[in-house]
This record gives sequence, structure tokens and C-alpha cells, in this order.
Amino acid sequence: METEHPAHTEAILIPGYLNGTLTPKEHRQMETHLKACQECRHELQEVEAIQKALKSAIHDRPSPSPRTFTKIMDRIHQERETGRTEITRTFEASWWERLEIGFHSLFAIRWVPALASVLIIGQAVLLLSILSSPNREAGPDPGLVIERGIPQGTPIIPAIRIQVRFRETAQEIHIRTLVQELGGEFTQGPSPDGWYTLRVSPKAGISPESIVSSLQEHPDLVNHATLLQP
Amino acid sequence: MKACSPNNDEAFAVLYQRYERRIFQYLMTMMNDGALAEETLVEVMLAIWKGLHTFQGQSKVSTWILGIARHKAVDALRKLTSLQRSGMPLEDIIESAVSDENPMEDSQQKRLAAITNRALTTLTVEHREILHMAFYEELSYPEIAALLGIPVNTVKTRVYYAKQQLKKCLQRQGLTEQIL
Repeated sequence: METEHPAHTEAILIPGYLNGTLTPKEHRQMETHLKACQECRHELQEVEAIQKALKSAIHDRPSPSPRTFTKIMDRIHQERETGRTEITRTFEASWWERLEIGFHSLFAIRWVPALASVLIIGQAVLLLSILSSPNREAGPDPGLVIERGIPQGTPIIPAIRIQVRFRETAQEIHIRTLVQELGGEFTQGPSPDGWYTLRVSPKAGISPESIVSSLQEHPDLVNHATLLQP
Repeated sequence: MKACSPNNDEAFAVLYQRYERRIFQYLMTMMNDGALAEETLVEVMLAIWKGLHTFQGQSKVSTWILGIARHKAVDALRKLTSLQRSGMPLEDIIESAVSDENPMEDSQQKRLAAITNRALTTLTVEHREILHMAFYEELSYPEIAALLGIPVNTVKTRVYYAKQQLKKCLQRQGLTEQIL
């Protein structure tokens, strides 16, 4: 539909000239051109008139309902309550939660060497006791582990996080289908600048990079996809 | 903006009063739907409240806010097809506003505004949006380019062609003699 080309390249700068937002160089270029070009002077009048009509039209629209601010403040209070509940849960934890927090603190970096030593010694003792046992053939059948769906030697791959920005034209249903196909879920977003964070647990043998590539293979839906550092 | 923090409700209320109409009018331009624009306004203000600590002052406050509004609008529009929209379309709102008016008071100006708004609704969302940014918000070409994520030269030509389309629509409504 965009077939009527401007008569002069300067014509496309007229809205910026009217708003006073051109660079000094563009402004000078326009001033010089307008003095010499009657067609662009006419275009200037036309843009000015259309801008005036548009401003008046938008100004004439109704305002949002006065209830809107109440709705916003209700949502903000809800958000504050949720945040407070989480903080309270951390500081007023039950004995079981405190035990759990204590257990997790064992994995803090300063305790890692000590914990690793304890585990190595424990494994050595366990191995020695199995080897010295007369019934060691009756030990756990490795096949059972495979039957449970965790083949021996399979590395456990942690979930990855990917930052994604979708095309503005992408429909939500198509985005959700793609994310489901990858076994991912949205954990955050959209951010003020339109980014979403996806959490994906890669299947065995599938690298995080190939998941990012799978997203990038849909340029009609995905604008950018970046792997976030763990 | 400096006084604004997630715990200062009074400063946030001032921020809301200052920007509610601008954000709402932008959302109306994008959505053509009053109810959806109000719902999205709530989401925009909540995102602003959550993101107050992330505002670095690298852009104007209004541009930062407009950027948030844009992403929320795109997100809301993504969830809908035009058939699913159940709210009152912009042109109906304008129609009702015009029919409620006092015929002796500014009737000609109101009629022009209503017809211009109706003409605007016939444009594509890209054209409506860029006209809103260039003609109503009076943003510079680089500011629009940053908001839309497109090159500055594309902004310049898109504004030109959007204006041409609006002019054609106004001509079809027989308005060009009154406006131009």
C-alpha cells in the first residue's frame, strides 16, 4: 500500500522539522530546501494540519476510569503482601525448615572440601565392607536402576535458563506450543523491555546450545534467544 | 521520579496522575478497545512500580514509561485476535462521546476529532503507533527507533507513509477541506 513516494527526500523529515527534533545538520538542510521548494512547503502545511487534527482527536478521547488507580494500588498491596509472606517464611521457619536450611548451608563453598572428604571416606568404607562381604553377589542389580529410567553413567544435567524476546507479531498460542515442545516453562517476564526467562531441563544428550538453536530456528516467533549463565 | 520508590505511595500516585492519560491514550491508539486499554494500564503501572529501582536515567522518564507501555500492549495484543476482543471499540466510544455532547458547544471540533479518530482506527497498528509517537508524543526519530527497535531511516519513511494513509482516510471521509 506504501506506493506514493515522497517527491523529495527532505519531505520525510518534515514531521521532525515541525517538532524541532531534527539534528542541527538536518534542520539546516530543511531550511535551505524549504526556501527553494514550493511542493515541500505545501507538504509542511499538510503535515502541520494533520498533526493538529490528530492531537485534537487523541485529546478528545475519554480518560481512564477513576477506579483504575484503586485497582493498581490493590495489586501493589497484594504484591507487597506476597513479598512479606516470603520474608516471614524465611525468618520464622519451623524446626523442620530450619533443619532443611541448616542442611543446605552444608553445601556452602566453605564447607565443600570438608564435605567432599567425608563423602570419599564414607564411600571407601562402604566399598571395603561390600568387597569383604561373603554375599556380595546379592548386591543391587544394575539393571534395576536402568528399569527405573536412570541408566547408569548418565550425567544429571541441570536445568538451564534462556532469555528470549519474541516477535511482536507472534501469537501466544504458537509461543506456548514451541516452549512446550522444548519442555520449558516461563519463570519471568515480560521485563519492561520485553524479555522473558525460560527454564528448560535438557534431555540426555541434548546440549543447552542446541536448545537455544531450536528457538532460533523459529525466526517468525523468536527475535533473540540467549543462554543465561547458571 | 527521584522521590518514587516502591514504598512511597504518595510519590507513585503523583507519577500516576502525571502519566495516566498519556499511557492510556497510547494504549487506546494501539488497541482500539477501552476496556483492554484500562486492563493493560493496570499492568503497565504495576511494571513501572516493580521496575522503579531499575530506572537508570539514561533515557527520559516518559520514554522509559512508553517503552514499558509498548511491551505490555504488544503482550496484551498477542493474547487476542481481533475477533476475541469483546470491549467497546474506540470508534464506538468516540461515537457515544459525540452523541452525548451539547450540540451547541464545540460540535464542529468534536465531529472533526471523532472522524479523525475513526480514520485512525482504519490504519494498521504500526501506522497508528508511529503517528502517535511522532505527531502526538512528538518524539524524535532516534527515540522512536529505539522504542520500536527499527532503524532511524525506517522510522522516517514509516512516519511519512502512515501520514499519507491517514490523509487518504480523511479524504474518504470528506474532511480534507476542513482540516487542510
